[in-house]
Amino acid sequence: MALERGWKTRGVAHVLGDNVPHDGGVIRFDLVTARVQDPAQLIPHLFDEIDPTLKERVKPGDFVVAGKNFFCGKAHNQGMIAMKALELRVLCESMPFRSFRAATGVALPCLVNCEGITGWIATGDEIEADFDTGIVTNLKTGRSEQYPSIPLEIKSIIEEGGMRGMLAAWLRDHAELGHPAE
Amino acid sequence: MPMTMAEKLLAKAVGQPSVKPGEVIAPDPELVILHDGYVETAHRQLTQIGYKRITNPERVVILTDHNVINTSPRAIEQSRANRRIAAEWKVGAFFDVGRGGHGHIYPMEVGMVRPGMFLIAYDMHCTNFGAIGAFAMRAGPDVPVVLATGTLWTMVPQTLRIDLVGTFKPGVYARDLGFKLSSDLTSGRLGVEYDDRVVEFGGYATATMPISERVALCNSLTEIGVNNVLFPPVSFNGETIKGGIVSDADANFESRITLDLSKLGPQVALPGGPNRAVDIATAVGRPVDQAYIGSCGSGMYEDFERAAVLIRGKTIAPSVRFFVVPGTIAIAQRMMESGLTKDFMDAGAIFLPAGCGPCAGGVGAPLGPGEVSISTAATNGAGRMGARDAECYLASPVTVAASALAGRIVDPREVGK
Repeated sequence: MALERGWKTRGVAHVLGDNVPHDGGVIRFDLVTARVQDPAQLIPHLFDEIDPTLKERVKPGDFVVAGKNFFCGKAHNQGMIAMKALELRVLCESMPFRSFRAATGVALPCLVNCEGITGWIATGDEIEADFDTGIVTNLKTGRSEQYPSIPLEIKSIIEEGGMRGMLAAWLRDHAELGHPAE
Repeated sequence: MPMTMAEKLLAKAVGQPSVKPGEVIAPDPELVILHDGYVETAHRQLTQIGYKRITNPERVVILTDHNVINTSPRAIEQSRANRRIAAEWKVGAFFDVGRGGHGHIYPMEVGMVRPGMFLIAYDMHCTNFGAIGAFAMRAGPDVPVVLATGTLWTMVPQTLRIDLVGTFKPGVYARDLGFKLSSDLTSGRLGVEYDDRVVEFGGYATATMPISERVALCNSLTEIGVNNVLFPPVSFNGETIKGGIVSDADANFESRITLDLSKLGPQVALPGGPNRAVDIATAVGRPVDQAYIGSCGSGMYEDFERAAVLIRGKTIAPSVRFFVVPGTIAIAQRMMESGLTKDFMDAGAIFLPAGCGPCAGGVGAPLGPGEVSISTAATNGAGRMGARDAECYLASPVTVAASALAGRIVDPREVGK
């Protein structure tokens, strides 16, 4: 699944705090250790441990707005798979690189250097974020801030559909990998 | 341009004169290491897309260290799949059950991983290779990209330099320092950034630090989310590498701190993570059901040798199950030849085959509900070694041995007084 709706979109913000871990925060740890990859099995447990009703309130295109160190802990991707399936996007103050790479791998769009963003966007606010320019606007208050935009290399991986899309493109360009080793 | 050791190793791996922090790069690994637990998943993901072979298979090494004992139908099935996939992909080397040993120790032991190398591995604890000055990048779930394309994009990390001075007091080891540093970095007490940073150790105390102690330090810090841990390059026997890759004197470290080893006492990591370290006095007296020495962090010969000094001629507490897991087959053989195996078995210990041992989800020695263990495992989150409500304490091999004898957590400095 590649990127829906383009890079400049509007949606409702759902604000989380600092240091929200992937394992045991965004998704239950037992679903991680079981290596569940099916979004249908993951979505019912998304955010269970931080806000059990959040998964019912989010709509496709909404933004999860987080503080520092979002997706901290180990770089597992089960929660990210569920968020991608729900067509969510992430705006956060910071994210460990290992998690950013994992999120890019499942084509979950994340703008990761939005310093102070949880200070001026509240849960329920309608916002607009342009990943190409890094401009985020709170449509309720009219305030707008500019953050570092998404790197071009990352953008192209997400547009290809993350790791899976990138690997399919690589195979098209390297057809010999589709034949058994001699 | 002055560079850190990590920047130099990454620049070499991309064939450029220099790289700088934040730069997106696709380094070329000399080696790609997978453990037995992820081969099937990676194979399935690639097969679904249409891949029937991998790029640079001769550089790929598969080691069996997680499910060395196949105690379930699923484990048997996985072992069979790994054999089939290793043959199908024609990988450079496949170490089956009972061959080689732990994937974070064995490749150094036989010179497969060497100082100055850049490699990629599935598992995060590949940072162990920093003990000899090699840079191993953890790919995690992105490892299919490495297998398909031969590389994986990354960003050049910043470096935190830690200079070690002084010497450990009796009863204190690098594992204690690893726990203490994990706690001090995550709590902010040291006032430096650590997340996704390379931690580079230097200072005169590293010159005499045995490889087993360097490994312990690399291992403990990895759990808190550092990018990598590096030491100045040495051979696996501890000999300095002349002309090896080290940081320039004027390298651009993001932060630099100095730690005095003589100020440290034994530590215990409370259940939850290595960063939950406390002075051992806080945990002393807690009765334990199980003790275990081994894992990628403390599975080398010297770890068992130090613990055996306490164990020799004694018997463990009747209430304790004590598991010993050598890191590699060669370490297990050396322990047998030197008499360490007899020391442990005479004391009442149980040997498990070389590999991860119970740190890999309790394999071979799971904990029951409410049980308490003290071990040298890599980490101790809920459910790591069996029941979710079991309490897993972490400590140095010597503290674990002392506690196995006493049947409760004890300060190793008090043993024999």
